[in-house]
Amino acid sequence: MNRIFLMAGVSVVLGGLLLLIPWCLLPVCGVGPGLSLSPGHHGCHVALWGATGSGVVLLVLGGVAVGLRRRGATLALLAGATLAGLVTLLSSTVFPGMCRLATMACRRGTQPALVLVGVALVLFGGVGLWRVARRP
Amino acid sequence: MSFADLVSLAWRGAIRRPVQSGLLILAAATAMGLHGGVVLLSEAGEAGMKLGLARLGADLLVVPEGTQEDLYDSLVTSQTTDQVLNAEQVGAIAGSSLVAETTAQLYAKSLSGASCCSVASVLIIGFEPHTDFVVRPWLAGRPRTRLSAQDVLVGSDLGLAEGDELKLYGTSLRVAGVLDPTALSLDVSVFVPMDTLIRMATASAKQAEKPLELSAGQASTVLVRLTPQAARLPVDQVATWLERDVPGVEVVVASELMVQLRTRLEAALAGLSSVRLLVGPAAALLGALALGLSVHLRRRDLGLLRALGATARDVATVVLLEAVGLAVLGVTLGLGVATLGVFAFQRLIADAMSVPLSMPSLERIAVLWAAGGAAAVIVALVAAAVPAFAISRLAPVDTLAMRHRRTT
Repeated sequence: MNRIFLMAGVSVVLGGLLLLIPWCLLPVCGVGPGLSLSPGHHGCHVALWGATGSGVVLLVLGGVAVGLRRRGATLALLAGATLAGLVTLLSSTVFPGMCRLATMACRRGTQPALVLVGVALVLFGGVGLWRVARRP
Repeated sequence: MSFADLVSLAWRGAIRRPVQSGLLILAAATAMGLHGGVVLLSEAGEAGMKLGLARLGADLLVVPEGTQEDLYDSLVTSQTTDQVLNAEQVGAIAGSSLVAETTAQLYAKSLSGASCCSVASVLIIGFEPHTDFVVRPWLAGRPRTRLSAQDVLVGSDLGLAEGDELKLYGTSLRVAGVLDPTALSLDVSVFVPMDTLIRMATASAKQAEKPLELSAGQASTVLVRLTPQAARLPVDQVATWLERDVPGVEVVVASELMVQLRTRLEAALAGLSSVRLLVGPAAALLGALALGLSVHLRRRDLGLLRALGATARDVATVVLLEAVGLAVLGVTLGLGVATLGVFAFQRLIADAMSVPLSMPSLERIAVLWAAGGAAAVIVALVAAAVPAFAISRLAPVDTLAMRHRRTT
């Protein structure tokens, strides 16, 4: 029981970070204090929506896992965390990555922060899946 | 009991009491994370200052009077000032008998709020290719690259590659070369030949959203190499003479830049260092308390171990191994987070602290980790010695009886 709460807690914290980093903590280019996107297209906005979507999915899966308290829900949560980590990593580095110049806000703050959270999610989800799947 | 058995017992003891173990790990991680962060930033700052100074390649930098601080800001955070030296002052500096070579540079800032991936808010440095002795040597292996009217050089950290095209103040330009790293804001700057910069400024009135107001002959900085005779004199005296000969200028001694930047680094790290000095002993105390509590709660287990044939030495070793293992885990966590944090956010940190940062080599980081690990092991051994010695001296029957009395 405690294990489910722990896993859901970690997911919610990491999912929350995925939501907060690109919008508030270390915002991508063109995102102001009023949380509105400035006009004009920035390459980093794909990563912004990738991280936002991943964050929302993690929050929902965390809630579902705590509500149902079943093995299937825990497995779905861990698989979702792994997938969310991969989406975050890929969208903030290669597909399509951030803006071209290293001086842009997205390259200086958002990208390293999302990469760290993405790696943490992949490790958490991967190790968790391996451990839960081993048990009968 | 074999050593492997003792390690296994220590490990089980640690995971059976997650709160005490977590406290120990957290204490070690916090102390070492703070310590590692301060040491890494300090070393990165020193390395950055040395690299930056070595790349400047000039004895003196001459700037408009009262803009010495602005020069530091330009070199570290890409800030610019509107004040410039006029053509007469630039000529007078070059004509001084103390001076062997001079080269002028003119700073401007590219427009901000531009659309995606345009070169926004970077330092544009106009330089004179025919007199330059500063920028060209940073072109690794190709110091004689010829620049056409559309060609520019870019800093190593800007993210542009040779052949890339960019637009500044409405003028299309091509990257002809990427410069070696300097750890200064020059790494995120665009170096434009002076003629091209003046042409850009002229055209900007029609092509750009905001005109670039510069004119030929102006300079933000004149970099100076002294004659061999002047170089033998005290550099401060030479600077004073130059300031007297050319009115309205301020002379910055290149080696003084290091002193100024080091002062900034020390000021920026002062708060963090103070916290580190407080947290270190507090973490050691918290760790010792958590360990003492853990041993106290395990008296019955350890007494049972003695009753089953373990020697007093075995019991003490289990307690010491548990303490060392948890401390090493905490150190790894703390130093890992500090190293990753400094490495990942070095650009943001450099801007916030207004100092150049160049990450130390892997060997230096390995030495830091080894030293941190050794210090944590010593502190853990000292902290665990008292409870380990105390529990190993108790007779098994006493520990079991104490527990029995309390539970009945």
